[in-house]
Formats: sequence, C-alpha cells, structure tokens
Amino acid sequence: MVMIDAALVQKVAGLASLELSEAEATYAVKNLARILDFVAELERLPEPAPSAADEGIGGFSRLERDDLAQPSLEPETAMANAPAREGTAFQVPRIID
Amino acid sequence: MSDLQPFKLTATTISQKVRGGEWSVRDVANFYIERTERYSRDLNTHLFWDPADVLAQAKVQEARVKAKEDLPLAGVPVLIKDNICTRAIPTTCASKMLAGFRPPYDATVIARLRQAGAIIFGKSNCDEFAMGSSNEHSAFGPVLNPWNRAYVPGGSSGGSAAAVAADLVPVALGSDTGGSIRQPASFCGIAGLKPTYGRVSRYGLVAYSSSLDQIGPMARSTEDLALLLDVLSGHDPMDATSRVDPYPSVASSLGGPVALKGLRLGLVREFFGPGLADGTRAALLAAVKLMQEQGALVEEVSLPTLSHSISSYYLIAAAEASANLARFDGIRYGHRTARSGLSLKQLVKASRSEGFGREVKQRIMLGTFALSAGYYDAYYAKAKAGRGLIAADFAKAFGQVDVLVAPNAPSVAFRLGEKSQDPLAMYLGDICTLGVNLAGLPALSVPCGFDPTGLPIGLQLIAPAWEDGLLLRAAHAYEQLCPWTKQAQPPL
Repeated sequence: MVMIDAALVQKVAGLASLELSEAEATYAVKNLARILDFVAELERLPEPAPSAADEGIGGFSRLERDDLAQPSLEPETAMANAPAREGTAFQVPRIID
Repeated sequence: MSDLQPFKLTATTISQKVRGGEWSVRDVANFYIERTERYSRDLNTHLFWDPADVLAQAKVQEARVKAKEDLPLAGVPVLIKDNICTRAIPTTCASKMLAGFRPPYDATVIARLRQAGAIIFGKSNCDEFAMGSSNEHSAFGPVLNPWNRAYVPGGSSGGSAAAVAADLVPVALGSDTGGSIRQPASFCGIAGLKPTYGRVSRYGLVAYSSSLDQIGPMARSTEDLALLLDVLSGHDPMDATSRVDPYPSVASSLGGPVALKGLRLGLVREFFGPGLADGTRAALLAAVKLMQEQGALVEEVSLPTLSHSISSYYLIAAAEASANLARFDGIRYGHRTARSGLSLKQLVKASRSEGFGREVKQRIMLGTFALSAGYYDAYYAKAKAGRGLIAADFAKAFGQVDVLVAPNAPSVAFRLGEKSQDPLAMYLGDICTLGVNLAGLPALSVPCGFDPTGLPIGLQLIAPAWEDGLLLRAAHAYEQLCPWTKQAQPPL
C-alpha cells in the first residue's frame, strides 16, 4: 500500500498541472489516502485478460469515417470565444520561458 | 388555455395538442416560462435562463407546426444539463473554468431535439463537470430538492431532476456516468433513463469519462422517456462509439401490464443487504410484489463482483477525467488567470487551479496518480480487471432473468452538507448505479413510493445491452399499476 504524504500529493499535483493551497493539500492528503486505502481491495483481483476491457462495451466495433473534407465553422463563429484576437488569429499570452 | 395546468401535462400530450392545433407553441412556452420564473431561483435549478430566446424558438417551431412538418416533440420544452453544448447559449459545466463559454455548435442531441420541434428551455445546474452525487459541487451553488429544501436533489443531474419534479419543464436531458440520471431521478421522484452506451450520441457532451458517459432523458413518465429516447437514438458519424444499427420506435411499443406476464425479474441480492434503508427496501419489495401479481416471475440473482464497482469506477472515471480535462489549460480552453509575468507552465497551473473546484481537482489528482509510472498496474489495470468481471457477472445474470431489480441508492435523499466534506462517504452511496455504467447497460429509475419522511424512492430496472425497449416496456407496465406516481406533487 502506498503512503500518501504532502510530498507525494504535491508531486501528483505537479503532474496534473495544479497548484494546491496549504488547505487544499491537507484535504488531498487526507482524502486521497482514504480513497486509495479503499480501492486497495482490488489488489486481490487476478490480472486482467489481455485487452478484455479495451474492446468496447456493448459489443460493437469501433467505426472510422471516410477521410472526406467536411464543412467547418465559419471563421467568425470559431473566433467568437477568443479572449483576444488579431484578424482571424487567436492571441495568446506571450511565452517568457 | 385553462387546460394548461401544473403537473397535468406530459411531453406526449403537449406534442399531440400542439400538432392538433388545440394549443399554440407560444402558449405552452409562456406557461412554463411563468413557472420557471416563479420557482427556479429558489431551487437554483438553472444556470442559464432567457425567456426571450425561448419565445424566439417558439416562433420558429410554431411556423414548422403550421407547415405540417413531422415534429414528434412539437412545442415541448426541454431543459438541458449544462455539460451539453448548445450553440450560442452558455455552457459552463457548473464550473468557473467555463464561465462565459458559448459553444459555436449544438451537440447532436440538441440538434435532434430542435429538429423534432422541441424548445431548448435553458441550462440546468449540476455538479461541476458532472462529478458528484448531490449537486453540492456546483460552482454556482447547490440545487435544492423540491420535496424538502433541506435535502439534496441528487447528482450530478440535480438541476434537471429538480426542475422536472417541480414541473418547470415536462422533460429534461441529463448525463449519467455513474448514476447521474438515475439517482437524482430517484431522489426527486421522477423517471430517468440511462440508455445503452452507444445508443445516444455523445458529440457535444463535455467529456468527463468517455467510456462511461451517456446522455439520457428525465421526465415524469416512462411514456415521455420513450418519446425522447426515440428522438435521441441513432447513429452519429461524429461519435465513433455510436452504433450504426437503426432502432425501432420504443414509444409506439409501450403496452399495459401485460408486458409483465412471464417477464423474469431478478432481485440483485447484493443490493438488498443490511445497508439498504428499511423504507427503500419496503417500497422496492412492494413494487416487485405488484409486478409478480401481474405475472412477472421473480427470483434472486447474485452479482458478487459488484463489490468492486466503487473502486473500479472511481479509478477508471478519474483516470479518464485527468486526460479529458487536461485540455483546460487557459490557452486552448477555459479560464485564464489574470496574473501576469508567468511562464507557460505557471500560467497553465494557475489557470487550472483557479478554474477547477475542489472535487474536480481531487478526481484529476486521483486519476493522474492511477495512471502514473509505478502505480498504473496496481490501480488502473486492476480497475479494468474489475470492470471486466462486473460485465461478465451481468452477462451471466441475464442468462437467468430478463430484467434486474435494484435500488438507485442505499437510502432516500440526504441532507445538504451531510456528506459534502467526506468524498469517500459520497462515493460509497453510488454503489447501486456504478456497475451499469461499467458494463455499458441500459437502466432507469421510476418512482415507487415515499419513505416515512415524505422523500421519494425510485425503483431501478436494468436490462441487457440494447434492450432499452424491453426496459421501458417493463417500467411502463409497472407505472400503469401505480398511476399515483405520476401525479405526486412536491410542496412548492
């Protein structure tokens, strides 16, 4: 069983591109530990059959569309949610890395 | 229009009367506008509401009625859960992350509703990104249960359920990833259907857990569920998981109690143990007895692997959520922090941390952890193994019986705040609904009584994949035996 502590929670938060306040980190340590403790009951299950759970539920096969050009959104419609724009381009914050 | 009366109308009746020229689309719209204006703020059912837009739609649909177009939902108001994209109408998923977002397109289900003559009657409150079982995780405040405002309406489709229960609309759409249609339907005393995975297009549904999410109808009768299901079902080239085969009409196949004669009902033993509230057990067993009296054959069945459903579900759903919600980075999608002078990585982190609520962050972190190197096999792979076993257990049970009978939750609605600080306690309450999603099956909740405190109880019926019609015929037959369930009115 994995030990959940503040360092692990912060590491996972980093992987998830989240930053946690102290209160949020405390909450996460407590509750992630309880949840992972609970789901540890799965340990006793056998290894899954190869790809058994990957074949789609419902018994239908995955479909692919023909590779044909389709109508797309008008530029003005597509731009409607842009916080900032220049012509038909989305303006994003300057990257200073 | 004196015959437009609260709690007397169904979508089926509205459509018939509008098409027959007895009622105008505008009069029906005005009737429900008045009810929504009067009750929606107190119950906090709506996240977007614009009566002017409703009346504009009514004008368009009225013209189509006059042109004698084929409109199975002529003039029917439909409230839409706020995680389903509606063109030019805000779609927030009850999250600050999407505040102000107006999708540039309609989800396929919305296009189908409009084509069928329906009026999109606003957007309903829900748990943030559909993650929750009480509607307390909305960034815009909880929905109140119309039967008792100190109680939750269930979740995540709580706004849709409460609005239908209060007759602010005759029907609504919800989405069900782990019970989010059935449990709130049960808590609010209405009917709710989670169709077979693949039957209703998910295109335009903001993804939470793509292998589990399913859109479905909520109504005050199974007849209306069937009416909506017929409109919503069908292949969509925009959703690779939608099945190609056509579906015969379910609404036209509904009959009377005769549908119960010889029907093999299986009581899921694991759900009728000591954890089930006495009032819920009594109501469910009374419903089963009624069906037995009409010729249903009843036996107990066991699905022992359902004990793994909470663990399997929360790991799989969280893992998929962590991937699906990665797109909300403040650049491609979603809220962007106002802080300046940040690096790209800092900007993404700050935007996500400001935009997402606590429960969403928790599930993203759980999923990230379950998929991370060193833990994948111990958690995610095992959860998939659990899912396979559960699906196999259901398949075995359907070798014995036609329809399974279960509660939707171990008890009736709980008090606001009772579980909101304890996520594990909240998750444990989902035990009765999760297996259905993991196996991709159709299931519904139909009202079957009240507990001693006056809160509604729902009967869950579960059918084999693609047997949504059988499921609705069985539920409809039961409903004919207790018509009072459709006439129950919450104390508004």
